[in-house]
Amino acid sequence: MAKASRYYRAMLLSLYLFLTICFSLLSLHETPINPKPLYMGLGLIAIITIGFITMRIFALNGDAMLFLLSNFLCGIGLVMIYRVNESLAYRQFIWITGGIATFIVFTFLFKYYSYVMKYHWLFGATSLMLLFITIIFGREIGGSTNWIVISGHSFQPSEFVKILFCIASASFLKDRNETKDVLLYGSFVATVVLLLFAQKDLGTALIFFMTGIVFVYVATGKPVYPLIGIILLVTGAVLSYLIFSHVRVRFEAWLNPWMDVPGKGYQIVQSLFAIGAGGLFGSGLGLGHPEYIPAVSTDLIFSILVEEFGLLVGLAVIAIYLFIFVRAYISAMSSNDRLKELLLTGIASMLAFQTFIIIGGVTKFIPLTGVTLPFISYGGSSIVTSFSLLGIMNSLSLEEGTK
Amino acid sequence: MRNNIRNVLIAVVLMFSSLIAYLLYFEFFMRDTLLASDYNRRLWEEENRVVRGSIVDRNGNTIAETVQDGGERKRVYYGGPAIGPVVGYNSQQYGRSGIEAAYNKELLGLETKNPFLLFKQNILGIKDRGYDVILTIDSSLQKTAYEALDGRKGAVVALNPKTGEILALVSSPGFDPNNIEKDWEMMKDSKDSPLLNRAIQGLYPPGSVFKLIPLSAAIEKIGGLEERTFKCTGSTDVDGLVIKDYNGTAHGNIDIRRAVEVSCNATFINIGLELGADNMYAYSGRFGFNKNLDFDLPTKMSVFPYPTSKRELALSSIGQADILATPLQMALVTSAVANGGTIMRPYIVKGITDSEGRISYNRQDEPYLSPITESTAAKIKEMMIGVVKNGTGTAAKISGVDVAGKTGTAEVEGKKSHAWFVGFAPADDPQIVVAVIVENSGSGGQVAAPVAKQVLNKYLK
Repeated sequence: MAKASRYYRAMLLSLYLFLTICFSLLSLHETPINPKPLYMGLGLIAIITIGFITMRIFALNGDAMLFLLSNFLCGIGLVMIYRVNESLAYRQFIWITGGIATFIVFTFLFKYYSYVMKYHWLFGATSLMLLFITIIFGREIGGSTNWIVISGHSFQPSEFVKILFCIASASFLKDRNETKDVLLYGSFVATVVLLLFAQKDLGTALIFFMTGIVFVYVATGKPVYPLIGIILLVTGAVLSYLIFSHVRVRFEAWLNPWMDVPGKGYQIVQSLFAIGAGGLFGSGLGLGHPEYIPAVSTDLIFSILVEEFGLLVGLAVIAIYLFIFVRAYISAMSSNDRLKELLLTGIASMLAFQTFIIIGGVTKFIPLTGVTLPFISYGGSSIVTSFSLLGIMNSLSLEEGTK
Repeated sequence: MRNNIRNVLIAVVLMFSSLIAYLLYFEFFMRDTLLASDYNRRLWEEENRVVRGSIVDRNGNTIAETVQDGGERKRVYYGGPAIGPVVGYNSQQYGRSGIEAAYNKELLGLETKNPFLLFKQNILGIKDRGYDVILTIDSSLQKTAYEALDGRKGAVVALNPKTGEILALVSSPGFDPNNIEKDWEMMKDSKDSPLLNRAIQGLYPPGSVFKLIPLSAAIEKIGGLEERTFKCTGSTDVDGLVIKDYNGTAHGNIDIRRAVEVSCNATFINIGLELGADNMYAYSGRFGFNKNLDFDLPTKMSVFPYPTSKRELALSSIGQADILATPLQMALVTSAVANGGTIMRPYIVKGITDSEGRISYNRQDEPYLSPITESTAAKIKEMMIGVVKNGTGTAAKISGVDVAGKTGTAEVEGKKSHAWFVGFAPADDPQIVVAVIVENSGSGGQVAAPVAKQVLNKYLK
C-alpha cells in the first residue's frame, strides 16, 4: 500500500507540473504578461489537492487512479478552454470544483449503494419525466432541443438522466433476466431513446441505446440481445435516414463533406483541418486557430486539443480514457456482487460510448453527432454528470475493508 | 457474468483501438492532401508567415516572385499573358490556379521540416521562406509561341521528346496574373475563356493529325502495306455516308507514303475499316487515349470512344467521329514517332530548391508509354518528313533543317475548321516536338504550320 501511494503521489506531482507549465505558457503568451492564467492554474491545483486530502481523511480513496486521471483530463480541458475563451474558463473552473465535490459526495453515498438502489421505479420514472419535460419546455441550442432554461441558467436534463438511467437499469436487472423482464426493460430504453431522438439529440440517443444493450447483455449473457440491438440500430438508422432530413444531413456530411464545405460539411472539415494542422507534435499551445473551429469549447474540443498539443497527446488522452474504463471493467469482473458488476460495467460503457462517439465524430471515423467529451468539454451539466458517474465507479471500487 | 463483462471489455477495447488505428492512418496517409485544400484557411495564415517561393524557368529567369513593397508583400509575375495560364494566380479572394495551385505546398515550404530548425526560427523571429519551383519552360520560346498565335484562340505545346520536359505550354488568349483581381469579373464570363488552359484542358476533335495512330496500327498489323496502292476518287461512301476528301480533291492511285503526305481521307478510311474497331481502340489506348495522365498540372482525359458502327469506324480513322484530344495529347503521340517509339512521361516541374539553393527535389526522366516499335517509328518519321517537303505541311519548312510533321483540319459543325499541326525537328535527331491548334481558323497547312515553324525556328536557332 505504501508503494502504491508513493506512486500516486508521483502522479499527483506530475499533474501539478503539467498544469503549472500549461497555465504559465498561457500567461507568457500575452503581452504584457498576464498572471491571471497562472492564478487559475494554481487555483485548480489547490482544488485538486483539497479533494485528494478530503478523500484521504474520509478513507474514500477507492481507485485513486480514477481521481487523478479524470483531473488530468479536466486540467487539459481547462487549459484549452482558457486559451479559447477566458470567460468560459472561469465558469468551467467553478464547475470542475463542483464536479470534484460531487465526485466525493457520490463516492461517499454509494458506500451504501444497496440502500440507494432500492428505488429503481422512481429513478426510471424520473428519467422519463425529465426527458418529457425537456420536449415540452426545451429550448433549442445548437440544433438540438435538449436544454432547459431556468431564470437565465441553462442545463441539459439528458445529462443527469444518465446517472438515473444507470442506477435504474442496474437495480432493475439485478435479479431479473427472464425474457419478459428484458422486454419491459427494452421498452424503457426505447422510450428514453425516442424521447432523445425527438429532441434531435442523436448522439445522446445512441449512447443510451448502446448502454441499454450492454446492460441487457451483461445481465442475461445471451448474445441474441446485442444481435437484436444491432439489427434494430441499423433498421432505425436506415429509416431515420429516409425520413428525417437532419439525419440525412449528418450522414451525407460524413460520407462526403467536400460536397458542401461552406454548409453541411463545415464542422467536420474545419475539425479535420485542425487535426491535420497539428501533426504529431502540435502547433504549440496558443499557436493554433480555434477561431476557425465551430463549437470549439464543447463538442469539437478534441480537434483544437490535437491541433495545439499534437496527435501524440490526443492519442494519450484516448489511452487515458481507455485506461479508466478498463479499470472499471476489471474491478467489475473481480466483484461477486451482481448489482455492483452491472452498475460498474454500465457506467464505464456509457462513458466509453460517449467518448468514442464524439472523438470518432470529430475525426470523421463515424458520422458526427454532437455530444460532449467527458471531463474535457466545457459545460456544467456534462462535468457534474461525468464526475457523478465516476464517483459511483470509485465508490464501488473501494476496498472491501474500507466500506 | 464475468465472461459477459470480459466480452464488453473486449468490444470497447476494439472500438478504441480501431479509432487509434484510424487516427494514425489519417496522420500518415490523408493529412498532406487534406492540408493542401483550398478551403484550409490556415494556408493563408501560413502565407502571411512565410515568404512564398519563386517560380523560375529552365534558364533561371524569374516568372513569379514575392517582393517586399513597403510594409506589404506582393506577388509579382513576369511574362504576362503568354505564361499566365501555366503559372496561374494566387489570390486570397479567387483562390489559386496553375503552378501556384499545384505546387502551393512546396512554394509555402509546408513539407515536414526539422522541428528544431522551426523552433530556432520562431525564437529568433526569422522569416521563413518557401521553396522555389523550377519549371522546364523556356520563357522566350513560350513568348514566341504566344506571339505566333497572335491573339487567336488556340494552344501550342512544345516538348523535348527525349526527356518529356515541356518547353512551352501556351494557351491563347492568356491572362496576366498581375491583374487577376482587376480583371476577374470580366474574364470569368468571357467567351474566350482565358482562365482555361487550352493546352492541357481543351478537348478538340484532332482531325487528320490523328491519322498517325491508324497509320501506326496499319504498319504493324497490315502486311505488305507499303507495296499496296490505294484508290482515291475524292469521296468515299460508307454505308450511305459520303465522306469527302479536303476540298473534294481526288488523289488518284497512290501509295501509303503519298497518302500521308497529302492526308488522303479515302486511303485512311480504307485502312481503318481493314484494321477494325478493336485495333483502332487498342492503338489509341497505347498512345494514351482514354487514360488519365499523371501530370504536374490538372489535365483533361483525351477520349477515343469505341466505334460501334462502320460509319463511326470510318470517321474515327480520319480523327473525326467523337474523338477528343488535348493539344498535349497530340504532342505526346508525335513524340512517340520522334523518340523511336517511346513516349517519355511529360513534366513541367524540373526541380524544387530551398531558400539556400539546396535541391530538395530533382525530376527524373521516365518512359510513359511505348505504343510502337522503333522500326514503325522510323517509317512514320520518313513519311512525316515528306509531309513537310512536298505535302500539306510545306509551310513549316525551315531551310537547312529537316522538319517532320502532320497537318490536320478538323471539321466543326457550323463553324470554320480547327487548324492543327504536329511535328518535330531536326528529323534525324529530334530536339523538339510541337503541337499547334488554332481554333476555327481554316486549314492546318495554311494556319497552324506557320505557327509551328516559328516555334521550331526559335528553339533550334
